[in-house]
Amino acid sequence: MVRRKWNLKGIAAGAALATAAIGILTFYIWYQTESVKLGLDIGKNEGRIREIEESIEALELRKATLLNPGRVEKIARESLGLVDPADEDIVYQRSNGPR
Amino acid sequence: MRTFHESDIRRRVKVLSFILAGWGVIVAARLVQVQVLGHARAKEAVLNQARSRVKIEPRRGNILDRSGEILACSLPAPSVAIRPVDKETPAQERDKVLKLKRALGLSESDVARILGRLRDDAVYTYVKEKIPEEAAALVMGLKLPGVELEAGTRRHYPHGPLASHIIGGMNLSGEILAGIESRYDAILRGQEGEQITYRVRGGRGYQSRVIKSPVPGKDITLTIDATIQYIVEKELAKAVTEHGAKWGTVIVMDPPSGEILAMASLPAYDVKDFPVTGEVRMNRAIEAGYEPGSTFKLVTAAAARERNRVGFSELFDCSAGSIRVGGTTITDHEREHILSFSQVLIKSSNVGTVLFAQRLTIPEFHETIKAFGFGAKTGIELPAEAKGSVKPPEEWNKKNSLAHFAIGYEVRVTAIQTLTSMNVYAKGGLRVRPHVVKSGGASAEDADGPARVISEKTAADLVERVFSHVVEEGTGKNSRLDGYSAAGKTGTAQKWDNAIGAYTREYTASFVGFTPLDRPRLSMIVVLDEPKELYYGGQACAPVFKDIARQVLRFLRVPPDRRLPPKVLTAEVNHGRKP
Repeated sequence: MVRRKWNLKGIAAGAALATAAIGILTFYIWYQTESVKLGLDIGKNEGRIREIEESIEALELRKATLLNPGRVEKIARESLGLVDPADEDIVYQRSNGPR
Repeated sequence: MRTFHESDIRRRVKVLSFILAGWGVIVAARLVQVQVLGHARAKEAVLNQARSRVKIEPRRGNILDRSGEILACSLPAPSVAIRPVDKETPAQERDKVLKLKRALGLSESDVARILGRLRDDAVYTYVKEKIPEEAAALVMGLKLPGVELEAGTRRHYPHGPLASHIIGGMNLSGEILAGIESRYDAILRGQEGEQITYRVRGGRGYQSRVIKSPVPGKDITLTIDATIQYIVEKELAKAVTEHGAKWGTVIVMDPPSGEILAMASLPAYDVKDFPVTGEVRMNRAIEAGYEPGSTFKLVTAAAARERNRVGFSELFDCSAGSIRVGGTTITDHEREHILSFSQVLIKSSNVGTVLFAQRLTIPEFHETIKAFGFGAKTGIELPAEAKGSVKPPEEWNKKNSLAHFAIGYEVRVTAIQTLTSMNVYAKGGLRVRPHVVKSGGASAEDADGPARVISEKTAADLVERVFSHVVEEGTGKNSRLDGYSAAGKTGTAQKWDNAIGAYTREYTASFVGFTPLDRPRLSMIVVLDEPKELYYGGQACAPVFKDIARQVLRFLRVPPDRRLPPKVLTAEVNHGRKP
């Protein structure tokens, strides 16, 4: 019959190892949770950026529609009374530099 | 302290081993049951769960004008789709579809179609395609089981019919058959993404997951200026109506670079109505071939002067008003007297032109015609460009083809070819490739530099002594602009009728020119087909050149280069606007 004894040093070492393992595991889980949370935040923000970009594009389209030369000319002539300037009314800006 | 005996340990190990072995046997048996015996059922369940893979449409690139103005762009426009839901009764399905009908304004036939497909257990049915995002949000707010959105985009053309022949067009199904939309589809389109849709909640709902994100298409910037294009389209429409022309086209080019600032063709269509068929779809500027008549004398004069076969002061007797060449009679539009070489061209005398052209050989003349780029595509980045037609020298009738070519018959050209040949004069004898794409659509053709066609001296002499006088005092005097020098050439060609095998009393009128002479800022061609009453190029087309050039020069802030009529004030400052 063999009798084996557990010494205190062994138990202490085991406990230390277990504590370290639990600590590492806790840190790993915390790290993973934070990563996932950050990933979700990034995804949410990217979605928001996409939405804003789409809004900007829609506004650009609206602007282009409103600035359609035909529409602008019609408003200028019919509503605001635009008349083409006569030749003598024009002051030309003559460039001295290369064209 | 607890003490363990070896016999205890052995017994416990045996018990544990027995339990583990038993557990292993149970797991293995279950695996066999699930994977072998239940394989068919499991496979069906998996396939049933992953119901479909759906393509995600990428955002198509924009088409912009030279200033960055949007000519075409795509905005999100999802499609609403519906899938069958397990254990849903026909009454529930009908109730759901009626809710969709109210939200999306569906017709009775749409409702019948959707219900029919649901009854047939169709996996995926479109309820309504390409709807505005606000409407999509409204539908999703209803939280209807089995109803989902499929991402997509819709093409918008904020300027409506403007530059329709250049842009081309695209319908709701993404059908593209013309213009830049077609030529650069591979660049504009981007790359499709993919998403997979799963059944969830025991078949009572669906969930989608993107497995490949779409890559958006790239933008294309054109050389077209939206404002100049508008001016050109407006004036062309006016001219076509005024002269009752069958069709008309105008192209405006930046002479040094070959950039097309505007290209209009009538009849035209609204890009929003794409696809269109028939006459309106044809971009006459590059697709319509016609006999040019006297504008082709640009080439005849260059061929003779480049080889020193004629002097500017040399005289030609045109008093007969006609000349007989190889069995055909060539006449002048009005009887002239004795004319110098310059006057022959200024007055556009066919008789005089034939007389000096006869000093050329057929191969020499053919060589010059080809050097100007006739009989070949210019290489402009638009689909369906025509080559025109120039017969090889061996097919020329030795008795009269040279005379016919000299006055612009027996040859078919496009408006873009004629403008490119006039641009040779504006560019000091160099031919530049016309192009409509400024950036975003690079190709190997872009490496081509200007090609020398005639010497700088020949070009300068002909502009100074001939083509500027065409505008000042000749057939093109209706194109004369106050304050700006210009050069040009008129053309009036009788149209050939294949049915009767003869020339008719219908005409193709044209005018091609550039302004100002020193540092040209624009070159332009105007072509009107079958104008009524005033059918000469100088009558029908030269005034259109004048009206457009006046507005475009103002828009580009180009100061006058010659003495202005009284009361016009000029001032010196430092900056101007580039086209």
